[in-house]
Amino acid sequence: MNPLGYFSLVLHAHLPFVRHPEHERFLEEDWFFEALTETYLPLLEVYEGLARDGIDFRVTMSLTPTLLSMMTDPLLQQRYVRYLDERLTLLAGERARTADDPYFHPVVLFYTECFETLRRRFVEQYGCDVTQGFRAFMEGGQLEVITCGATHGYFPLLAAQEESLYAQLSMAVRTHERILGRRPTGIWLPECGYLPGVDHILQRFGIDYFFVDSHGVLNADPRPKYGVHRPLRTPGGPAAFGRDYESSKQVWSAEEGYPGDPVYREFYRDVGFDIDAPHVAALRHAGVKTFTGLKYHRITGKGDWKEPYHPGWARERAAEHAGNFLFNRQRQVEWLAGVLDRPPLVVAPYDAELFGHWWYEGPQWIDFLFRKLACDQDQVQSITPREYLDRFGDLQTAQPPECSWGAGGFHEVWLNGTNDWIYPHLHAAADHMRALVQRFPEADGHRRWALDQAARELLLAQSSDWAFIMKTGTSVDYAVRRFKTHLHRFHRLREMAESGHYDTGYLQAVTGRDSLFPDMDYRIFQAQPVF
Amino acid sequence: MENKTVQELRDLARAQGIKGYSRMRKGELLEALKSAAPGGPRTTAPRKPPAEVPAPAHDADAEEQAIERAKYVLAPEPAAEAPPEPADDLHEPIDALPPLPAPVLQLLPQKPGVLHAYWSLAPEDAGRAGLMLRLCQVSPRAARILVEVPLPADSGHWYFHIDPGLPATEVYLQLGHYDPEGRFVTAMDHGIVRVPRLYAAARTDRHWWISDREFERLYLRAGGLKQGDRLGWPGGTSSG
Repeated sequence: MNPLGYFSLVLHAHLPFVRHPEHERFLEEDWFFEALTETYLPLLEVYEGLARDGIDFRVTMSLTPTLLSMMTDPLLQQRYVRYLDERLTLLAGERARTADDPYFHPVVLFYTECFETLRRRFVEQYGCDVTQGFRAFMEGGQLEVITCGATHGYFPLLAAQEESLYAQLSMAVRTHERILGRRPTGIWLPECGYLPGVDHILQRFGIDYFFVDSHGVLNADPRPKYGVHRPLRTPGGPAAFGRDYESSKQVWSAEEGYPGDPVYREFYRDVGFDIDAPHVAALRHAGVKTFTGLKYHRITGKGDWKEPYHPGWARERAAEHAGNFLFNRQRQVEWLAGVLDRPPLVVAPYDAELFGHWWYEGPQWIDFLFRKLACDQDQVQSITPREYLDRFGDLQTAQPPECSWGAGGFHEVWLNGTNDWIYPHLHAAADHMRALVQRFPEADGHRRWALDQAARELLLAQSSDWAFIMKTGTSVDYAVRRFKTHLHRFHRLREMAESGHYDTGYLQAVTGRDSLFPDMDYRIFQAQPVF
Repeated sequence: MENKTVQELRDLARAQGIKGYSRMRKGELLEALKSAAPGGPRTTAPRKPPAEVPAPAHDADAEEQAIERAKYVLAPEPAAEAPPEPADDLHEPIDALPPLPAPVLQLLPQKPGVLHAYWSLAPEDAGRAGLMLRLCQVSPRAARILVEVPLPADSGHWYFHIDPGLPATEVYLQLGHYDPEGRFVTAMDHGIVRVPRLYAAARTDRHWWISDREFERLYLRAGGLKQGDRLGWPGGTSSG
C-alpha cells in the first residue's frame, strides 16, 4: 500500500466519576452502564471482529482516569451485572407481551440476543473488567490509548493555579500506568482546552502530543503551512494535532450527518416510558420512569409517529454511510496530496459515546469503515498520531492560540451565568491545597490520610462535567450537589489537617465514597510532576 | 483640551497615571486623556452585561453539544418527573459555601471580546464608596482604558465586553477609586491576561512559507471564514 494520505480516528471516552455505595441504587450510575452497554463493549466487539478477520486497523482512544477507575471498580462491576440481569428479566416479560406482535417481537428478540451476549462477554470474557479488552488491543498495536486530565478538569479555567494542572496530569499519568501498564505518550486535553504554556507542562510529563480543534492549528502563529493536515510542533515540544472539520461535520451535522437517518434507532423512545406493565415498572427508580436502554423504534421522520426498528436495514445503511465517508476522505486526500508537499493527515476526533449511545449504529459504521479502508482502496491508510510522528516527524513550530472544542470554540460552555460561581471556590481551594503541600511536605498518619482525601475531593470538584451539566440543563441538581459536596469535603478535611483534630468516622465514610485513585499522593498539587 | 500644547497634555497624562505618555503624539494624548478622565467612559449606573452573547457558531457546535449532553440524559424530553433525590446519609451542610479569601481579583477570558472578572474585597475596602473596575489594554505606546465601571455592589463578578477584533490582545484589570485630584488609586490589580484570538496570524514562517492565496484556500476549506480582509474562525465573536 502506497497511500496518498492518512486518516486518524480518535475517540474520546469519558464519564465523570459516579459511584454511590451509600445507596443501593443510584440513577446517575446508569450513565456508565448505558455507555458500557452501547459504546464500550460494542467497540471492543468491533475491534475483536476486525482482528479475527485479519483487518489491519488503527484507532486512538482516550480512556480518562475517571472512566478507567469506574471500569475497574468492583462495586460498579457488580452493579453492572445486576443492570444486565434486570434487563434480561424485563426482556423475558417483553417476549411474552409481544409474542403475537409481528412488528415488535423481532426487536425484542434482537435485544435479548444483544443482552445475553453482552453479559457473557462482560462476565466470562473480561472477568467484569473491560480495561483488559482495551489493553489487549493496545498491546497488539491496533489501539493507541491516550490519557486525559485526572478528573477532566478544564485547563484554561484552572490555570490560575498551575499546581492544579500538574495535579490533574500527575494523577492521570499515574492512573494510566497503574491500570494499563504503560505511561501515556499522548493526551486528550479535557474538552480540547488549550492555552499557551500547557505544552511546556505536558513536555515535563513525557507527553509527546495532544489535540486541538481546527482553529487551534489554523490560527497558530506563524501561519501553519499545512493547515490542519499536519501536526505542529509547539514551543514546549509536544505536537498539536488539529481536528479536521470536514470529516467531523459529516458525522455530527443535523442536516448532512449520518446519525439522523430515518432507519437508525430513535434515541428518545424507550420502553421505560412507552410500556405500562409490571415487568417494565420493576426497573423504575423510586417509582419514577427512566430510560431502560431498550428502544424499539427507528427515527422514521421528524414527527411523533415512529416505525418499529429494523436492525438489518440499519446495518445496511451503516455500511452505505461508511462507504460515503470513505469516498469523501479519498477525494479529500487526493486534493490535499495535490497541493501539499508532505503526506496529508486527516484527524477525525469524536466523543466516543456518540458511537453507540447516541448513534446506536455508530460502532457498526466504524466496523465497515475499517473493512473498506483495508480492502476496497489504497489511497487512504489509517494511522495513529504516534505512528505519524514516528514516520513524519519534521514539523513546523508554531504557537497555537487559546482554544477548545466547545460551542463557540473557547470557554463559554464552562464559564457563563449558570456556572461562573464555581471558579472563585475552585481557585481558593487550589490555593489552600498548594499551601498545605508547602506546610506539610512529609505528612504521615491521619494527616496524610486527610490530605490525600482532600486532594481527591478537590480533583473531583474540578471535573468539567459539573460546569457542562449546569450549562446544558440535564441533571443540573445532581451536578450542583456533586460540586458542593466535594468542596465541602475538601474544606472539612483541610481543617482536620490544619488543626490536627481528626474525625476518623468521617474520614472513613468519605474515603469509602470518593474512592478513586487509591495511590493518591496529596503532593501532586505542586508545580512539578510527582509521578 | 484641544488647545493645550503637547507638553501640557503630557503633564496632564502624567497626573492621570497614563502609561507611555512621553512617547505619545497629540492625538493619542487627547484620546488617552478622554478615556482616562473620571467622567469619560464611566457610567454612573452600570447595566449588567450579559454573561453570554449569542454568537454565530458552526452548525455542528450545537449538535455536538446535544450529543455530549445525551450522555447524561436518562429520560425523554421535556424532562419527565425526576426521581426523588436520595437522602444524604452524612448530613453534610453542603449548601453553606465556604467564605472566599480576600482580597482577590481574578480575570478570566471567556472568548474573544468577553472577559469575566470576580473579586472579594479586603475588609478595609469593603465599605469604601466610589470603587471602580477598569480594564486596560496593554499596547506598545500606552495603556488605554477599555472599560470602566463602578464596582457593582450586588455581585462579586462582572463580564467585560470589548471589541473582539482589537489588534493588541493583552489586557489587565484594576480595582480602585479616584482621589479628589482625579487620580486613580489602585487597591488591587490583576496581571496581564491574553484575550483569545479569533483571527489567523499575519506572520508567515520563513522555513515553512506559504503564500497568502494558498493559505486562504486551506483555511477556508478547513471551515474558516473570510471576515472583511481577515481570515477568522466562526463562533466566539461578541456583539460587544
